[in-house]
Amino acid sequence: MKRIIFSILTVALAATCSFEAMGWGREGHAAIAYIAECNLTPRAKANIEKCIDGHSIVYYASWLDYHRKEYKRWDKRAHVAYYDLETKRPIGKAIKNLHESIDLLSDYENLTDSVRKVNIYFLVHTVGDYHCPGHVTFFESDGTTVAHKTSYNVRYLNEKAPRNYHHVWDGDILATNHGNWSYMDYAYNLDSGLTQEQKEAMIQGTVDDWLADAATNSLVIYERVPKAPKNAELSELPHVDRNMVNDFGELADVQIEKAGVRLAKILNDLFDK
Amino acid sequence: MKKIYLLLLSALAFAPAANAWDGAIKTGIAAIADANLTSTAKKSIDAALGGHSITYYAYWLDNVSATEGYTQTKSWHYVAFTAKNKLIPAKKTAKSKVEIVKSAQAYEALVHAVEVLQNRGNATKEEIADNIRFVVGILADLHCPSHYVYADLLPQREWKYYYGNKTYNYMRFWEALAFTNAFSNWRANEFVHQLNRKSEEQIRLLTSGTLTEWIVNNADEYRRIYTMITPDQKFDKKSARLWLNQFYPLSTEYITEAGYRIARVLNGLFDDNVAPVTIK
Amino acid sequence: MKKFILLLTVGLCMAYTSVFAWDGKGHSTIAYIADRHLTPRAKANIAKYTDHHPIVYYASWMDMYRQYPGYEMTHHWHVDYWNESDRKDADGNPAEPIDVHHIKRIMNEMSDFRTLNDSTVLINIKLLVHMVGDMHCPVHTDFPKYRPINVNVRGKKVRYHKMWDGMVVDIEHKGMSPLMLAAELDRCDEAAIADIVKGTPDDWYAESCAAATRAYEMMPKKTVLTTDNYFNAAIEIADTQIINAGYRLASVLNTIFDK
Repeated sequence: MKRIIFSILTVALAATCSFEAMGWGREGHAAIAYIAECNLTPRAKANIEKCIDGHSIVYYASWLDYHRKEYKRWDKRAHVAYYDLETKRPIGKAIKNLHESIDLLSDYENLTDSVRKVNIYFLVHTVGDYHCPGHVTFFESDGTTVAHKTSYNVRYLNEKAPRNYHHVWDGDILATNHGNWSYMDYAYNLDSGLTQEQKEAMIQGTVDDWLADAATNSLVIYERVPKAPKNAELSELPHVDRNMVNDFGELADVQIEKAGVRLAKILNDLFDK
Repeated sequence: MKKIYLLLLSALAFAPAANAWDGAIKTGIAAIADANLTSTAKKSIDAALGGHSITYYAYWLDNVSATEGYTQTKSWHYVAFTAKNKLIPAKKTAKSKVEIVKSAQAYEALVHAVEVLQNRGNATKEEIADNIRFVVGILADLHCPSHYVYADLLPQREWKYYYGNKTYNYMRFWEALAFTNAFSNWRANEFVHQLNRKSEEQIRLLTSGTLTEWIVNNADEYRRIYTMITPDQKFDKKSARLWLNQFYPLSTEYITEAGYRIARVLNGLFDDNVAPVTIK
Repeated sequence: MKKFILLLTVGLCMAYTSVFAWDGKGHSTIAYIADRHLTPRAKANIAKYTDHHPIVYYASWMDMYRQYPGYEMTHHWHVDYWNESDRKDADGNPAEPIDVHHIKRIMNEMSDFRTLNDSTVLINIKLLVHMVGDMHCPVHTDFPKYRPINVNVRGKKVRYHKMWDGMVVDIEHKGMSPLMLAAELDRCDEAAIADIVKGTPDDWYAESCAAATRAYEMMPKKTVLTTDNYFNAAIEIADTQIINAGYRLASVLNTIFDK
């Protein structure tokens, strides 16, 4: 009977969940985009929406996840930021792509429609991704040896099967803590009360500084949940228990706030003219 | 044991659910409609609904179908069409031996609800409230492609497709998967924020024509869903994603149309400054 | 008999560990309604303690932190009916319902909130935001016919308690976020609100018990029920309780912080 119930749950899950798991999941990305939208100047908002067929940027918050097969340039690696533990700076393709898109959009009026759109979709999504602790890979000083990444299994809450740690950060934390929130609830709870001073503190420095800050904040997820040997039994896996989910939930909320406010800063600089 | 498993599985995956638009979509449609009511219409409608908006009652028609006094509404979720796209009247569908055709009586129920509201001077408070909720529920259903039953496409309603090692029903996909997957993080306000963006001219075009024309045109348009899949189509992760992407813009259009049209009908009924929608 | 007691104990423990009154949606809706009725001064004073978060952010904090080191004692503060031995005070007199007792205690402690340290005030805000909601949930009050029974919700066997904790609101208000639901339910005029918030937590609790009894007695007298009819009536009780809880929470917080 247990097997039947499990099978039904699996089918139900497969039927109602998206086909793929993505950074922050739909909820988190939409929340970040909406927080950004709430912080856009009216002129920037109007100019952006003219470029994307009158839609809100939230409409395209997960576009990059769902079109990665058609746009090979932005393959899996573009969704993950690399960070050098030695120099304490972001490195690699992700940050390069981000700068490229910002540079391109600085002259957005002279771009073709499609290039303009795709680069907006890219920014809206990846600024969120790079603030997701599961989407930062840490490198040793040689720049090639991976020190930390979330590609290992953990025991999540009271589950009886191992769960991929990346998946935990791709949506489980938010779903567990804020399962009833829509993206407007996120904005109300995380952004509406932020003071101007708090927002200004978040956008101090450069884009590279922001990614470095996001990476530094993310290190704690490896300190508290160290990698277990590859073939470890469930009981030997690190346990992400309810208390840890609470702490990680607070971290996730802060990262979402920052990502939203910082995305708005990038877009205001580009489109408020 | 295997038999129980199969039974349960079929019940879950293949049940011909009468609840079009799973997830939050009907609430979204009602909220778009609510946002497009004139202030006069909204005031009268909210008063008729005991202070609640139509959004509050978005799933009411689905929820009352098992309730005493409302069991007749079980047949109000589908419409049937011939191969030449002619609406099959309820008096004929009621005689069908095919269960889904038999229950295709939504058009007549909708027309009746509109007529009751047109002549609401003779109706009780309860009848007015019920018929507002009928209009909201039925028109939302009639913008969901799987709620159109085509006499020439009955076997296609049984089409299955495969993802990984699982089997899915294509009709169920239209009621749930295509939409809840695409809009899983939207609730009522979010649908309004995302989709209530048409210009006045676009809204005028979407809501022009008669109530019957909308439904006949929908029937014509929704036939296309049978060209978007082949029977027993198999998907892997990549092809599934490419396939799903084509439904997103399509489904947003259907949902948006439903919202604007419900508002158009209710504005015509409850605001004297708006011309009533013609039925035929 | 031993087996029966064991089964009963296991059953009761199961019921107890799943006591998340209203689930997230109901609690958030209550907090949103309250948030809409905080006076500007109360809101500003509360914001000094909650960083930048509105009170809604803490609507389910007590559920999330009930086992967190240092907060274990709050595990028992969600319900009013649980432990028989707790129901008598040291003199053998009937004890106050647990969460009502703590609501009153906190209201008293917070009457001069500026003398308390910041973390105490914040914790008290988190507790009030949740417990005023809990107190209005029919299965979190003490009512005479409460039994840990199972019911059949659309083919699924669930605890009566669980059904009321979340399913009534979730099913009947499918597609509404808490933000939207609060706007939909918050439609009382000033006179009606004044009427709802009059009285004391003891009076509110007595009303909740009456609502709980109504909800229970509406059920067909079978352990398994078809719930569509039931849900259509139950949601009226649930909505009323949520609205009452929201206005009363605002009233409690305004009394404390609007000064």
